[in-house]
Amino acid sequence: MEQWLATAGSIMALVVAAVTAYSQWAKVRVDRRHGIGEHEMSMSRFGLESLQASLAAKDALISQYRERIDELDEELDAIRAERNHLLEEVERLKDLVLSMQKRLDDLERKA
Amino acid sequence: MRNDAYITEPPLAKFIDRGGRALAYLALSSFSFLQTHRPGSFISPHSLWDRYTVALAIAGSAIALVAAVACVFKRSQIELITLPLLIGVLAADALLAGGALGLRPHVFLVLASMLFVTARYNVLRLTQARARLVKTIKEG
Repeated sequence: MEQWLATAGSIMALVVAAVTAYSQWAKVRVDRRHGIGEHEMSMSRFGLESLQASLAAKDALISQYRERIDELDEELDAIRAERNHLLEEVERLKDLVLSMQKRLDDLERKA
Repeated sequence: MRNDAYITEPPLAKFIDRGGRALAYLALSSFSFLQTHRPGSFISPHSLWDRYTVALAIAGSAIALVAAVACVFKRSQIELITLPLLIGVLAADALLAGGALGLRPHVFLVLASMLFVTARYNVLRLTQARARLVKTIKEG
């Protein structure tokens, strides 16, 4: 009885191992398709290189975002200046319309 | 000459690491293969159970050999695929030996080998996860 139990347990262990190995194989295939090969594995194995790569990538990302923020700030300043200019223009046109209206009223009164 | 206060990696660290691991796999392979050297193992197995035990030992030996070759040729992804199989075969071997013989030194030896392989498997899985993370960070 014990022997049969041990045999059944060993077969189960083998089946679980086969399923795990298949899933690992699938994962490795997906990794390779995404460009993660032996070189990337060995790069990430010893902490320092991977840390340096991550830090370099982080610095590059931060500088890229800073540049983009500066560009957006400049755009925002330009838009604000244009808005102020347009508001001034509207005020000037309003004044002009009022003065013309006044002048028209005067002319009508004289006539 | 480096100015580091401590040597972060000893000389030939990677070579010794890989060589030692390959030797361990080879030892495991030969150990499994020696399990087949019983009277009548190949020529006239007495029962289905005998055949199953011999097949298991041969499979374990072959898988450990593949792992050793992968280790020597720096193919950690192939090692990652073979290790679950090796763990499974060792677990099956330990169960069979424990069921047939009881808690003998053989069983503890197989369990110790299984723990060594499991530790290595976990290290490789962590390495795989870290490689994915580094790749994701690099790609932004």
